[in-house]
Order: sequence, then structure tokens, then C-alpha cells
Amino acid sequence: MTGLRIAYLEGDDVTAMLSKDTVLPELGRTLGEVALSVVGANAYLGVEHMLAALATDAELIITGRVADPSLFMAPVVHGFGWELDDWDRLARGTVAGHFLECGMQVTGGYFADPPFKPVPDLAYCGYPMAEIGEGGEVVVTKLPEAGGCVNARTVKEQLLYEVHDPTSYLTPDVTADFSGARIEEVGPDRVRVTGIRGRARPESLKVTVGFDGGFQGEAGIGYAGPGAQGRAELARDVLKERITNLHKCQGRLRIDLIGMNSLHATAIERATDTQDVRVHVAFAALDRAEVETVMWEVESLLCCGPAGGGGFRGQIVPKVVTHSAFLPRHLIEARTEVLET
Amino acid sequence: MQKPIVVGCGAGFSADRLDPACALAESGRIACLVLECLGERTLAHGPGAGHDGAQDRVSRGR
Repeated sequence: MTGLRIAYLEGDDVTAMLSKDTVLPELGRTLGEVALSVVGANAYLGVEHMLAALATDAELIITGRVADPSLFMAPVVHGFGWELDDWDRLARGTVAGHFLECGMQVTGGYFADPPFKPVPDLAYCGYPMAEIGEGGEVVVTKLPEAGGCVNARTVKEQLLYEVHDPTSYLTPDVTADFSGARIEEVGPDRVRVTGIRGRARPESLKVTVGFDGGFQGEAGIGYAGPGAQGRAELARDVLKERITNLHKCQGRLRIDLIGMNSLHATAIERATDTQDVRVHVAFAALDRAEVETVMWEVESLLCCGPAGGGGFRGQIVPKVVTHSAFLPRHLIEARTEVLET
Repeated sequence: MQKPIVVGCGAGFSADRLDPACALAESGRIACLVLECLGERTLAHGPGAGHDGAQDRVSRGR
């Protein structure tokens, strides 16, 4: 492909701006106090950082980390020339971005739950579109020929998705108040959203800091037929004994019995009469050799463990741990470059 | 009064499907198509990463 203008936006990589005194509020500790090595840190940029890229009239813009709603709202701010302190308009554009940012979640994906929440033609579900007016009027819709649906229920689910406080949805652009939202179905697969207000944006930008978290192993072995539960429980007990007391592994071990209590691990264990149980083992440690030992222990159950174990699968992947930090926004400098193919 | 600007979504996370994004791009109904593929997971794969590894599929269109 030739003659394509591509703008790219940098400045989200703030790894060099961290210090041992950078606070990680979720942990209540500083970077210096957390004994993990940093693999990278990225600030969530906003609309103001994207405007220079949009002004180049490039056909394609590639960005680093940008807050999800900002990514979708930036072309609208650019197109209408909204001011960056027009809080109500920015809040309305942000809610439109929030409807789009999770793709099919507003057109039926992650929503489908037959028979209560049917979604037509989920296999060919369409992605959403938002029509955004100059005053911030928002209609969420999709292509008529695409599968899926846009209705008041899909829109309400997405409105609340990953929203900690509906009166103060914080983005790099605005503090949006969704609490007065009105949602109306105005046509087939067309939902209008009004009543969104905004207040001043936060003075700091969120930063995701990634740390080298060592390795994580996952492995499983299945037991089926009469007595499957008892054999799976025996396998679990054998694993715990050998991993903890024989090998003295120091990492974090979790064993679930899928079919009995895996998704309900924190609930009171309920008896079931399933004859189809899978022992699922997860183990994380800084030392890869320790994770390999655990994987080996699970596989050895095939001939050393309870009767009838089968279908062993296991794999080890590097583990990255993330925590949030904040930086004053004036420290962040975005840079735009343009390439032509 | 100015006409609304229509923004399309072409991906909400790194493993989202490509064919519905192509359908939107080809529809002529949108002013721009935004693909959000960068998450904590994709960024955290370390220095030199920061992408979802799907560039070949994207350039092929499926």
C-alpha cells in the first residue's frame, strides 16, 4: 500500500519518569518499597494529546496508551472543535466513547443469556456505531445487516460496565456524571442517551506500572465416572502434600475442582453429584524451576495418583503484575510524527 | 445545525474479531473507525511489546 499517511502518537511511556518515591496507592507503598523489577509504565493519554495527530489529516493514527473513551471521542472533539473545558459536551462524548470502547458488549456480546436475554445472529454480531451531535447528542446503533442488537438493556449494561462511581467517571478529559442518564429506544437498534453532565477533568493522569512477576503455571487432569469427586479430592490432597511438604515450594498455589467448586471457590462448598471433575492447578512463583516442579507433580498423577486420571495439559507463561500510579498531567509530553508509505 | 459525526468501533480488546470491523469500514456509514487493542495485558508483555501480535491478520483483513 502506498500513499498512506500514518500519524503516530508517543509520550505514554513514562517508565523513565518513575522514581523509588513513586507511590502505588492500591498498595499504600512506594516503588522503592515494592521489591519487584519494573518492566514498563504507561500513562493513559487523553483527547488533548491526540488532537495534534488528528490535525495532520493522516488516514491512519496509531497511538500508545490512550484512555479508551478518549480514543473514540478525540475525532469528535477535533471535528466539531469542542473546547477542552466544555465539560458537558466532553462528558457526553465520553459516554459515547464508553458505549463503543468494549465493542460488542453494547450490541449483544457478553450480554447473550438465553432465554432471558436473546441476541439475534450472535455468530455475525456487529460492532457498534455512535452518532454524536455537535451539542453532544448521542445515539448508539449498528449496521442494520449485522447480527446482534442495540436496545435499552444492552446500553444500560454497558453504561454501568467498569464504572466505579456513576457520578464521577474519571477520564483524562473530564469528570463525567452518568447519574442523570436517560435511555430511550428511538428506532430499531437505535438508542438515544441524554442527561449526561460533566465537571472539570482530573489534574493527574493514571499510569499502569507493569512488574516482572516471575512465572505462572497452569495444569489440569480429569476424573470421570462413579467416585470422580472422591478421586479428584484425593488428587488435590496428594498435590498439596507433595508441593508444600516434600518440595517446600514457596510460590502461591491454588487448586480448584472444576465441576464441583471452581467458580464458587469462595462460597460454602456445595455437594454435587457430578461424575465429571477436572483438577485445575495454578501456581505462581518468581523461580521458574519451582513452577516446573509443580507441573511435573500434576502430570505424575497420571500413573502415581488416583484411578482413572487423564487428559493432562499444562503450560508455563511469564507473569506480569500491574499496579496503578498517578503523575501530574503537566509532566506528560505527547509527540506526534507522520510517516508516508 | 451540523450533522452528527458517526464513530465506529472496530475492536474493543486485542482478541476481538476483524470481519465486523471490515463490514463497518466498507459500509460508508462512518467518519472513522477506532480499534482499541491495547490493554494492561498487551502493554505488559515487556519492552518492545505494546502490540497485540495481530498485525499480519489485520493487514490481511481477516
